[in-house]
Amino acid sequence: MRLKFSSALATAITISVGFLTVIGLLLGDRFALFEGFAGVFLQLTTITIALTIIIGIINLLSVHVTRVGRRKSGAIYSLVLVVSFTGVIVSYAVDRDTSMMLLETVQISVESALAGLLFFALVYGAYRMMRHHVSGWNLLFISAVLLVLLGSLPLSQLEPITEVRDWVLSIPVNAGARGLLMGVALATVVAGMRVLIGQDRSYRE
Amino acid sequence: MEANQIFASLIIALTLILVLITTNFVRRGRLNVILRRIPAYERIPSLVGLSIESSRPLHISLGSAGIGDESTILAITSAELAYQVTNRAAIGDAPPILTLSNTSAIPLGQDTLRRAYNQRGLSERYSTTNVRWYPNGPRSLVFAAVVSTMIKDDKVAASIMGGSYGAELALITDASKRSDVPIVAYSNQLEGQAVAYALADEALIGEEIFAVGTYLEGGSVQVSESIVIDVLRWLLIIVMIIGFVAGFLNGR
Repeated sequence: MRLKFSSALATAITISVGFLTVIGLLLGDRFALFEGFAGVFLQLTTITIALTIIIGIINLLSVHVTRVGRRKSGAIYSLVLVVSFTGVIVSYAVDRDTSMMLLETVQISVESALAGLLFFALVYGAYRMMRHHVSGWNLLFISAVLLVLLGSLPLSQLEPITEVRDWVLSIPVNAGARGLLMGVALATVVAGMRVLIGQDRSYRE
Repeated sequence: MEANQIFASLIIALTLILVLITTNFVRRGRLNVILRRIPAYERIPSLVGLSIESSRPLHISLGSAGIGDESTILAITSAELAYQVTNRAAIGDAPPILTLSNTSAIPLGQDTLRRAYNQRGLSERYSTTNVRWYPNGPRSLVFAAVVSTMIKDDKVAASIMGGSYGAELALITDASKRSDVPIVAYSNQLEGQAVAYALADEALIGEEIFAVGTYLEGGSVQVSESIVIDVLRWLLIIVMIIGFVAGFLNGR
């Protein structure tokens, strides 16, 4: 297998920096040198991530200007985006208050409307799920949804249902959620270790 | 040294040893690994086929997973999913589209697509505009709205959602269903997992996404990773049972 020098160098740097940072974070209070290394590397990461916002803006504009140029389907939305982007930049430069007002009146209103739409998307999705295929698991899912919704109603007649809902949320749901999160956490540690010891695909190609 | 530092060091050391040992065993063919069925991974090759035959792009998404926070490893794993899918779909007329809402994942996404095309010897087909960043807003609803419209505008053949989403994933699955576009979904957030399970055609649950390399490629490194995850899970279960029994015997 032919190994490129640049790949080998990048892998060596990644492994060294990764292990120094892990050691610094785990044993930092005993070894000030490692703690210092970890601090510097984390600061560099933060600065680099902050700079990626510029990459994001360039990406956004290049995608939508290309769409407008090629007159692809939905190019009108891309044109609106490019015009809005320019408008916000100009308004921010001229009058920051107007820019903030635009943000609050347009962005927050649109997001609130979408949040309202989300409820209907969920309910319609549950209906479609039952129409598509009725299985034991689907019935259990719908029963749990109905139980939680009914148990949340502020009616004294529904107090027994509220108690059942509280029990379901605190025992089976909580246990299931913890199990899922533990599984994800374990897998994250193992995958992280694979990256740390240079076995990730990006080091090999 | 505090107890949690010792515990974290032990887990990292144990994981490192297990990864090295199992990789060695798998490479030498000393472990006979039988994988359980995961319908989502079985579905992905047919979605790639659908994209190639219909000359419509596949949509792959990393959601809000990014580099530099707690979702870093998830972003790298979702990028592996994107690599596997792009690698298969690269020969089609319509190049896959990768969407993401975290700017730190843009270089990762672009590098992933570039490597997938290079591996196929089709580097001239790679375009940086196939990776699309859409800002997420405070609740990722804007990202969900944009992806919903993109599914229709770009005549997407199928959607494969990796990464991180909340309940807003319902908007994307709804748009997919309305356009008759099959969708495979995953999220590391519980709300997103619930939506994916209920509304997507196939869902990846819990740590299943971390087995992407094992199921779609089957290399020794990826298989050993899945084995180590299983070993650690059983160790955790045994520790929890011992803790429960010890607590019970002590009358707690």
